[in-house]
Amino acid sequence: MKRLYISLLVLISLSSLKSAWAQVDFEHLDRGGNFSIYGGMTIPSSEFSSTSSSGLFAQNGFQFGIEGNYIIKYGLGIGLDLGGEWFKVDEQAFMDYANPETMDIKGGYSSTYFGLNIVANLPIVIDDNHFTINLFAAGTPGIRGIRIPSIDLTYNEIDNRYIEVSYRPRASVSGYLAVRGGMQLLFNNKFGLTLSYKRVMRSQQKLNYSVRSFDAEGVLYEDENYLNSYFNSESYQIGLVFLLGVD
Amino acid sequence: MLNYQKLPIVKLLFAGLIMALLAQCMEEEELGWTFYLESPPPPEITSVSSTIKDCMPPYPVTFYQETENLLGHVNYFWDFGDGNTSTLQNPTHIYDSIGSYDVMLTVSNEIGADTMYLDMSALNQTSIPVEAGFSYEHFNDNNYAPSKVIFSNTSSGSKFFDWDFGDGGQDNDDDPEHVFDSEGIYTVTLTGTCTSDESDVYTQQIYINSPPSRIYVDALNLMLPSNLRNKRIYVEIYHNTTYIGSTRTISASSYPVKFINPEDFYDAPIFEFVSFAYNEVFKFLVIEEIAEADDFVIYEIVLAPVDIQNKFYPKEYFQIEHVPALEDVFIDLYLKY
Repeated sequence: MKRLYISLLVLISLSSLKSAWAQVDFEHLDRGGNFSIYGGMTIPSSEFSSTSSSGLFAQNGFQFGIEGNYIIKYGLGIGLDLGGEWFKVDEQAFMDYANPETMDIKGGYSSTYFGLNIVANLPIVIDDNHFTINLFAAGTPGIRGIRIPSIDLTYNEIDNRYIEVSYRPRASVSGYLAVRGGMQLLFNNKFGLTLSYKRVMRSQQKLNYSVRSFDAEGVLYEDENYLNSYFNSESYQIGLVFLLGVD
Repeated sequence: MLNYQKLPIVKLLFAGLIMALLAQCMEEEELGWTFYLESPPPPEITSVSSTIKDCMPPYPVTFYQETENLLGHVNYFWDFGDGNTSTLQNPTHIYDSIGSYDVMLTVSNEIGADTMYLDMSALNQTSIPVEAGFSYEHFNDNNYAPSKVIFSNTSSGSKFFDWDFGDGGQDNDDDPEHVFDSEGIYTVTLTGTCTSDESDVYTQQIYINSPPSRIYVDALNLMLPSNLRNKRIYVEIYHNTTYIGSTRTISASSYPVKFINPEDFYDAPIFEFVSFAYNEVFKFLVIEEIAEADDFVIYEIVLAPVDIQNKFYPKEYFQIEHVPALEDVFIDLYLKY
């Protein structure tokens, strides 16, 4: 939240700018669209990244997404946000708890999301429309699916009843709420660069997975289980934005 | 003037907002990773028995034990009650003099130990009657030919054993195993003989059925790589080159997926008239169904039938994966006969 407050302060400060070469124009992007492609680093937080016994051992990953918004009036707009996130798994932490003889983790936590943006823009037009700094903030409710990594463990038969344990992901979808803020550096009202910060608000989600295990006598045990925790994260994005219908 | 109420996107937005708020409210007890860790059970002796292998002193006695949970490095310790011990699994010990003895067995490994006692007061006699006897069980709990039968000798007072299995096969082991190659009713005869040449004969009939003419696929568990999730997949089942049946088409969001007979199968997959000839194969084609194009065979998985015969008709085949070395591809096959 601290970063959001700072962004807000910067926004208010800049909104007071009045000069020949820089002018706040709330309506500059009105009735225009923008389409952006972004990517960046994503950082899990709270229980998602915790390595405590109830933690999920997620580590930093990356994010990629596309977004389209339409600015209706007074810099306010709506849009869609679609993307994916990948988080690595702290294999050492997992190993410390699972204590297997061998471990093979394929992939990490992967997430796909689809959200509906509510966007507020504060365009600062500089240099007679050749260059605009657009400060923006967005709230995005939506749905997302997260999958666990595929994990294969083997144990010595005297250490564990199950000598082979395999975790595989099952489909899991639930809602989320994200907030995002940042700035766009727009050139000639055609294209530009986006720098932003996004936070997925604290929300609980259930992640299903299946488990197959064999004991020393080759008897197969199958189980359906789940994680139920907070998959919060924050991320930093850089992207390209293309403006449509802005004069 | 723009009418926001008429914009479908606005309605969607409200729906999303409600969804997100619901997600915030649906708080349940947190659950992290479940680690499937369970201490393996220590050895558990389920029975200790003995066979007195002569009719007069000194008595040789063979001891038998049945123990479950034999994991790790297993140690056996027998105390025969006359000052002698053994670390063999099923030892034979000669008691030089008659008497009543308490025998103790301890089975241990890295996990724990179990102890059981056996009363050998039967040795407190100057002679023991010769009585032949045995019990048996079919391997895999079925009696289809070829059938493997495991015999347990329950004789007493006999030193030498002659087994006649009724199919031309013979053996002199105490507890033999025998494979009956074809169907029939076999009279198995055990003759137990003492050093005094006194003997006893025990017979039992064993029924061996003809090989199953049909094998039913009871269930099929399919594991595929995650890049095939959400694709329309089905499995065709073949006996040699003959199409037997197929599973229903699925579009799984994750694997493995279990197909259960009959609801998940078309044509009730039965391997008919199985004769177990050389090169006879059971084959599974994992196929992707593609709209407006020919279906595409992703994997061909083959199970040689000789496995079924040589393994005496098991009910389960786990992780059949005779496919190129790719990750996470296998079939668990559940059979009934």
